[in-house]
Amino acid sequence: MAAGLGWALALRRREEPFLLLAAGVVLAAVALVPLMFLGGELGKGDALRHAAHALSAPRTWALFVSSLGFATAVTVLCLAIGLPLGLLLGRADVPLRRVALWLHAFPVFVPPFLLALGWFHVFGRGGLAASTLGARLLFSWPGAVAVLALALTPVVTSLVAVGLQAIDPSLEEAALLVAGPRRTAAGILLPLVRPATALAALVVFSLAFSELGVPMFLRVPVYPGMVFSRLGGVDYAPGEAFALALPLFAVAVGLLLFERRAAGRRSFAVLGLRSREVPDLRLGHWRPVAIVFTAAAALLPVAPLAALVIDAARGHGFSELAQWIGASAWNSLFDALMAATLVLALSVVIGHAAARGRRGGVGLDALAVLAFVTPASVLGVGLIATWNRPSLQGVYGTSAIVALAFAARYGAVGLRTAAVSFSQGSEHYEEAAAIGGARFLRRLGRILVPIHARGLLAAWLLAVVFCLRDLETAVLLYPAGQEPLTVRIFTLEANGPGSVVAALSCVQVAMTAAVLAVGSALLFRRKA
Amino acid sequence: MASGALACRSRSREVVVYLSIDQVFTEPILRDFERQSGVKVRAVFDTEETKSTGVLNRIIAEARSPQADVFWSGDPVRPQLLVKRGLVRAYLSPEAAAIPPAFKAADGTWTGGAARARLLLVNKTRVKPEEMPRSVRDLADRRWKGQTAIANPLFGTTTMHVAALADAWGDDALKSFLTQLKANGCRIASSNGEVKRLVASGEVAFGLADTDDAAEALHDGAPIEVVYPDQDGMGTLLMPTAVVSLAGPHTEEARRLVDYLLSVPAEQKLVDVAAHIPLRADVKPAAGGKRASEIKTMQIDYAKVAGTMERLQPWLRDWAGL
Amino acid sequence: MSTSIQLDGVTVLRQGRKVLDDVSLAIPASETLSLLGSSGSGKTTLLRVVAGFVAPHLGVVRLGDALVTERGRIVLAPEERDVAMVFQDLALWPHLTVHGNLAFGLDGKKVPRTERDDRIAAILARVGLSGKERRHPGELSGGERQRVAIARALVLDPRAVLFDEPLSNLDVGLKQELLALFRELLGERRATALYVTHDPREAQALGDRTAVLDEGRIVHLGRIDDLRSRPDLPFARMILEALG
Repeated sequence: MAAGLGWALALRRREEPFLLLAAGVVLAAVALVPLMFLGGELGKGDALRHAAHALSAPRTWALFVSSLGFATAVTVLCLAIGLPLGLLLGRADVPLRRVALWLHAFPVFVPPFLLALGWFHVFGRGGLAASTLGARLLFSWPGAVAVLALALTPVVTSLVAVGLQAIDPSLEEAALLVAGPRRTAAGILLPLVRPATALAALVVFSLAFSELGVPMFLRVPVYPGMVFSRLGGVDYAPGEAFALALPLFAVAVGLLLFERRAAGRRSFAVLGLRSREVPDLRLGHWRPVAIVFTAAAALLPVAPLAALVIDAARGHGFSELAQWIGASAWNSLFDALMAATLVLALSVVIGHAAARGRRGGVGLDALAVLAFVTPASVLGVGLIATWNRPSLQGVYGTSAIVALAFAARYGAVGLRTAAVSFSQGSEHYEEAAAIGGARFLRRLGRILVPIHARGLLAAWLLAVVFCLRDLETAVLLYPAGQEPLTVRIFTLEANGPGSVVAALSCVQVAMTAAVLAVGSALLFRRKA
Repeated sequence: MASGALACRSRSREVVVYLSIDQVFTEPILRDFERQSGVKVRAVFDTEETKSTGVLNRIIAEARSPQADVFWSGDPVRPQLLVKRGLVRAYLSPEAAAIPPAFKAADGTWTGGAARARLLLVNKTRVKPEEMPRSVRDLADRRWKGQTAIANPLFGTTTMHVAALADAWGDDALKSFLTQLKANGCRIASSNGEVKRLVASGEVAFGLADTDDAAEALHDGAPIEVVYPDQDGMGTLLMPTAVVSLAGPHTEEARRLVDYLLSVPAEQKLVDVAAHIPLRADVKPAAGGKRASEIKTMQIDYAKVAGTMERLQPWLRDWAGL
Repeated sequence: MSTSIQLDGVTVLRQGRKVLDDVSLAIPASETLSLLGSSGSGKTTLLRVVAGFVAPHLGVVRLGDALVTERGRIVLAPEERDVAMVFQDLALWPHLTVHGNLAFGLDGKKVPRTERDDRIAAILARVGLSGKERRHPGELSGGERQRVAIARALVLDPRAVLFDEPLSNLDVGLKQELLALFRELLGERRATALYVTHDPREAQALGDRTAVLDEGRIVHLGRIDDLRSRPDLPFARMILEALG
């Protein structure tokens, strides 16, 4: 009894480290333990020898380098379009900036394979703008780079645009006194959003490097495809898949180091939702060019989605929807909401620790990023090995396993957003609460969460849409009969009626748009 | 609703089935079973596309605590891998009596159902009637350089097809054929469905796919001619679907589902909606379709093909560049 | 309820540099000590060591008889020290009203509701903010916010109050007014206070004694006027010039 009380007292006195430990245990259980289980497979039979053989083959490394090149090309293209566009949409005197940003950003929340499918409906033979050259270009290395870059550029644009709005206005005004808008933009504003740019590059590179659907659809061999072939082929070899994933982990560590170096101590201080009263940068005679550029950037990514709508309407796909959609849209929403709520809980604790540089916080942040770049199939098979046990059927046999898998894969998204929000608020708020006698949980509930409500809501919302767009994680684990909509689109895509698949894709898009609309309404709601 | 989504799997009166046959064809049959039996069916579908690891590997990965009661496979080769790993619970369904012996296992580990043939889908706008390909070897013919397509042989039914070819021709002949294919610029699509799309849209002149892909393309009005390859040679590869009883927790319901999937109404539906080829004498072929007995088919030892398939994997990965 | 504050041999390192270098300091109960120093002299760090936000690499801190911090370890967490702090940026919680800001700490101490509201009303009346309980910090003037901040600190009846340059951004008139208020309030409550500032006039106006911190070391401890006898010391000359 006394020992129990002592333990409870110790727990209360060290709420923050215990809570961080608990969050760390959850993150480790969904992200680290599965990978360790797979690592353990290496010890079975000839797995280690096969793995060594696979890792020593020149072909492995040739493909690895080629994939690095692919992801680099996508990242460079995204930066080349996203940086100037972020500047224009964030700060310049371009009309309808907010609308353009929303239109431009939307495709990032749609599963990339749907965009590839949409582009096929545009450029493939029999498509809306069919031509031999277009079709040939689409099914090529540059085509795959372009499709993925168009899908991911909004990551750069949005982070840069929002980052620009968080810059102290006086810095910009000081520059405008001695230089024109162009020099101010190039010499002051863009360098100041370096942390945002670095984070954007990290996210784009990670997503491009781990993407399987688009390159496979467009027949570009990539390294994750090689890892996948150890799990999706006939000779199921999870240990070998893990070994082949090791270079990917090295890339993840490299990315983290790059980001820390590029962003410096401001790693998390990127986003802000502060309003500002600074006049827009004047573009002068460049304005018409800029307007054409932003209009193209806003409308181009919408083209594949429009092609899907046209295809669905032409083939009466919408009238057959009820017959095919089942409960999949609800399953998607339920899984995404559950997962995002778990991600939020983890993000509040770990994001806070990472932002404040607490011991363990930075390590857990790195673990989340590692899980983010791990191929979904590797993580998924690891999760099955970890969680599919008779005693854990309450988790594995239900939607809970999908939520856990999502939390592992997209934890980094919520965690980073939360960390950014925490790092932008004054530390004194929580210190004032601490010195006022509040322990960590009370500080969290009464001070930190209310003050950072918008940032945390943004973290939750991002986690929701990333889970909604997921295909590769859920397809491995969803409980029988409870498939999310992306999986249903994907499974029906093989031989299903094209117009129904297009119509289901439209539902996916509409559902995402609705979630974003509700979320943004809450996010940008004026304070009463 | 939330509690429904979270409900534990051990509910009675339900059965869990994993399928590697297209959802669009099988879901209506499962619904019919639900209506007739009152047993709820919870399904996991596969697509043969490369983006999923495939239900077969999910069954293997879940071996520690089996989830699936029934595996309804698009071919009888993959179930052999499960038999080898001891994941199959043999069951001799009374319905199996009507299936010809070549299309079932005597020990009840698997029983065949309506079959698919591996066909050449030819785009009529790109190929003149007198130039129609007649053999799978034509995929490697220089005349069609850069104008043919097959699905990635690492995944899906193409895996089985190349293994069957290796058994028929010998490994070396198969490898040299695949090498020629590559040199000939044959497109390696991610799935048979994509081969169908490529042929239907005219991006390639012809490609290798399944009966159901052909039916779907014809249904969509694509300008396609269907060729049963090698009718004057080794024959066309026929792949029966296979129903397999697994070690999942719902034994009784699993047997009822297996019986139903092998019954006349289920096979008839698969024949009607997916243009499959009937095995049972009491099932009518689809309009314009054929019976198995009307086609010259390759002679297949499914267990041997399964072994070949595993043996070929490393070489195929090299060949596919993965 | 006020208590003494005692630091013995406190050293804080940051990136190999000594931010505080073997600082020893004793503030008897009910005394107000001003801590004077230029930017980077380590005065805010010293305050944060006392508050429990920073663990020193060497040395100990005591509040009364209780050891609260020892070498490398926070023995008593900030929330258990029963001290109050007025921050440079005030750190008024923007989502809570004036009443909410004051009630937060009292609720944590489980003060009964009526007593809590009485104490809040009393302190707000004392700082001249009666009737503004329902305002949010964003709806108050700069001077009013300062008053809320001091009221939030004192309503808890703490064992000691720590001030981190709370008046640094105010105009001279307001500063004088608030200094007078602080002095009165601290006098009435006989509270122990540590007041950090870089302005010698503030230090002189508020402190019973003044400690001068330079490059992490205490170079003077006593009345500020005592510096007049040491015109040879550069910092003394600067302080005296500032005082005119």
